[in-house]
Amino acid sequence: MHEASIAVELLKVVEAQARQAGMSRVSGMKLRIGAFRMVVPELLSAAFEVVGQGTLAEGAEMRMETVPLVARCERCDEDVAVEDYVFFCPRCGAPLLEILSGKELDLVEMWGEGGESP
Amino acid sequence: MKVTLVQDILDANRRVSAANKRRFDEHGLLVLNLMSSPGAGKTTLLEHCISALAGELAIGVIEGDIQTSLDADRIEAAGAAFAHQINTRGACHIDGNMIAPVVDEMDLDALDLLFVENVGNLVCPAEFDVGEDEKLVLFSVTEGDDKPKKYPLMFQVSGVMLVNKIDLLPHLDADLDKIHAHARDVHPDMRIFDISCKTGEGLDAFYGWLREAVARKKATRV
Ligand SMILES: Nc1nc2c(ncn2[C@@H]2O[C@H](COP(=O)(O)OP(=O)(O)OP(=O)(O)O)[C@@H](O)[C@H]2O)c(=O)[nH]1
Ligand SMILES: [Mg+2]
Ligand SMILES: [Zn+2]
Repeated sequence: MHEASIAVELLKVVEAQARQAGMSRVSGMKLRIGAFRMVVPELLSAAFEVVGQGTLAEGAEMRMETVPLVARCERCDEDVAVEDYVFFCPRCGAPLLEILSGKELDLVEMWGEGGESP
Repeated sequence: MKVTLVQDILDANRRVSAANKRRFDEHGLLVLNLMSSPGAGKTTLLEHCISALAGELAIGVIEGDIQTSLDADRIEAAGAAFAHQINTRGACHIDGNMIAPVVDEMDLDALDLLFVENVGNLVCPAEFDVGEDEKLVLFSVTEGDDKPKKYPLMFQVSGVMLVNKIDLLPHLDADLDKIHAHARDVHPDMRIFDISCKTGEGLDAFYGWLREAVARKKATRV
């Protein structure tokens, strides 16, 4: 259900960025979403379809790329893939206190009409 | 046309929240964001804190609920130095924008500690900062041992976990050690307090932590 909250924030960002780029219509976008966000892509698409109605991003296509959850093991001096949200190093057992990736919630690309560079 | 960018979707909220935090910091005011499932005992815990620390810490509370001001009424009746109800009108979390106008009308110097009681929900509140120093997750033993596994982000962003309603343990299958272990899986250095708002067990340790955290924050005031 947090996909609805995220969709609302996403629309604000899309509208602001489109305005800045002078775009009149956004027909698609690409997102990078960290695995730790536990976003269900279909739910986010569905939520955006609802909040986007009547905006310049109505019906926009959404492409999503998932970023794996990776943390740093200080003891092994290595980056470790975190499995099942257990933040202990599978190799040495040390706690993993620094998350390197997996919490992203980024808009990385938008396409549509208008905004040809001046 | 096509635009490439890297824009954090939650950045707008993060910026408003950072502005809130700067204002709290200027006054050396400790702000704690209290989160839990519906009915885990957030308001009850705050009532206890307010009356136990009366005369020692001036505590304010911003209450977030989808509807009603019942919780703020309870906080006021408990003798809080400040109580304000935010109705989120459907939103399942509080964000920085909802806090900002409340901060405008508060006398920040009159408080030692400000709690934000978030909307009962273990998902969305984990994603939205409000300008707090620390997130606290309250978890009641009636919810099942594996909640930290099911809502890992909530337990990862919270530095403190309060395990409430331990008075009910004799009647349940819940295993306190398992709850701790599951929480530490997602947050190895989680600070944990086992409490009962009914019997008062464990609350003194939490009050001690609050006193220290308030003193630490005040000491940072320039
Ligand atoms: N047995 C027992 N009951 C408790 C304890 N703490 C709270 N309760 C009860 O749990 C119920 C819910 O408590 P609240 O404090 O209203 O919970 P809340 O988290 O503020 O609820 P919402 O704001 O609606 O999400 C009340 O009936 C409390 O009396 C406890 O330690 N033990
Ligand atoms: Mg409450
Ligand atoms: Zn290791």
